[in-house]
Amino acid sequence: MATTIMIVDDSPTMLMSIEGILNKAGLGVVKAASGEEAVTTLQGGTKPNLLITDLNMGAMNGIELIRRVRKLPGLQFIPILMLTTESQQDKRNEAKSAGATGWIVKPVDPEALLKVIRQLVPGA
Amino acid sequence: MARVPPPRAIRWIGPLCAVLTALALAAVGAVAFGPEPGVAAIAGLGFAATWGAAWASVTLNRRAMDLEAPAPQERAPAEAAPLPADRPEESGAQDATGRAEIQAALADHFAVYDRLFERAANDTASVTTETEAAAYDIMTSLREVDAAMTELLAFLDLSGSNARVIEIVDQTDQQLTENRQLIGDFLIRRDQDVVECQQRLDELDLATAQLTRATEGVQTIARQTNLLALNATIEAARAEKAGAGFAVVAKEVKELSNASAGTATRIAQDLASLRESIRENFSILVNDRVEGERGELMKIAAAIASLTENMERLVAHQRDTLVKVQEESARIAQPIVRLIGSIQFQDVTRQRLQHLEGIFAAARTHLQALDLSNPLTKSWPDARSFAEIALSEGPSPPRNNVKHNNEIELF
Repeated sequence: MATTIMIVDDSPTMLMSIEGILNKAGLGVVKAASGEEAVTTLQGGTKPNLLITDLNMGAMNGIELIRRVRKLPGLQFIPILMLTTESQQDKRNEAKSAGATGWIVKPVDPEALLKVIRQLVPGA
Repeated sequence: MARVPPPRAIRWIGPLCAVLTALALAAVGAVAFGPEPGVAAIAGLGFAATWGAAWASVTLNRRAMDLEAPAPQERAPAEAAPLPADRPEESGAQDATGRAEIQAALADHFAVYDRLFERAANDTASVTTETEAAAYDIMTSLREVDAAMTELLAFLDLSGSNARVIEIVDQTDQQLTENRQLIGDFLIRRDQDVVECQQRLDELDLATAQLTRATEGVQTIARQTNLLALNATIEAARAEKAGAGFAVVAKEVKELSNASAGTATRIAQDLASLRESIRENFSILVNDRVEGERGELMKIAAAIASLTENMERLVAHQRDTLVKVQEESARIAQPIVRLIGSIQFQDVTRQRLQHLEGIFAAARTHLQALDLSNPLTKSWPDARSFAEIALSEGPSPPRNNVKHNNEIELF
């Protein structure tokens, strides 16, 4: 079964960029332009192998999204990476407490991103 | 307003000049009029010189003070019109007027700042929108290029174009080789046929010669028969009447002999004509047709060889082209991925600009909250809280390394 990565970002450019990187590596992608859209998609039964989310997004930010995702059945343990422009330690700690698996500061090198994904999702 | 005192050197120039002038005039008077008139001259001229020097000193001091004091229009309003201390009511009214002027001036400045921040916010918002649209277009184009490259590579891989072309050319080359072999075999068989034909012609020539010799034997027999008939005629004449019947037989034999000789001669002539005709036809067959066919077949064989060579060149060229396409496609794929990744700069830039927009908005709010008409500055917004907003790093602080920073932390 092909590996599927969910990307959540309110920037269409970022969504296309990360989707392009992942597609080139043979990974399937599910996109969401907001935290709310991501939750709706996941509630609909989508089970990604890994989730990548932005931090600053409209009404529901990335940390809140992680909290919501961790409460969904079957998604308590999927890896979730925060991909953001921010790098403050207090926000990292907050994301970690919410259940984030890792923190990546934009812009990220495509190869470095793929390396982390393969590290978290064996066989990806 | 207190005037700014001139420098010490300038303040002492007047008195010093007065003293020196008085002394100089006294010395001149003493030399010119003698000691007593000189003393009088000292007293008179010294007074005049002292007065003049004092005037010059005052003038110089004023001049110096004018030079160092600020221009009237640059002076603060409160200092522009000093009020005499012995007129308090007028002084208070002028203070109020001065404050009003200050407030009005500050309000004008703040209005300019407000417009500046508004414009800056609009400009950054415009830049954000335009760069986002441009980045999206770039991203879309890159994805299209990437999709085309991927499709091309997939086609080359799936169709096995290179291997297929080589297979087709190998088959064609094999067919051409077989055709060349067939032509060669045909030429060999044709040569063998020519040799066999020559052998049969020789056999026919031999048989014809034998038949010619046979006709010569017939002619010899005819001549001997004719001679025998002549002798029989002579003997029949000697026998006179008894030989009359024999003379008729001898005559018939002679005629038969002559007919046999003529027939043998015609047979020999016909055989010679037939032999010559066969030789001539064979010569045409060998010299013209066979050689012509050989020449044409050799041309065909050469053309096939050239075709094979060109096919091999074509295959080599196509193989090189395909390999080059595959190599270049693979080489371009990596920069495309990097370009796709580099588009992230737009999101970083967008968030930085949005942070600036927030600061500009806070600055406008702060400016608008500054009530200049209210003398109680405690009611004004807190400068420190505004400074915290204005100086905050924001979501994406500027970095020295504008490329990917690879800042990844796994918890």
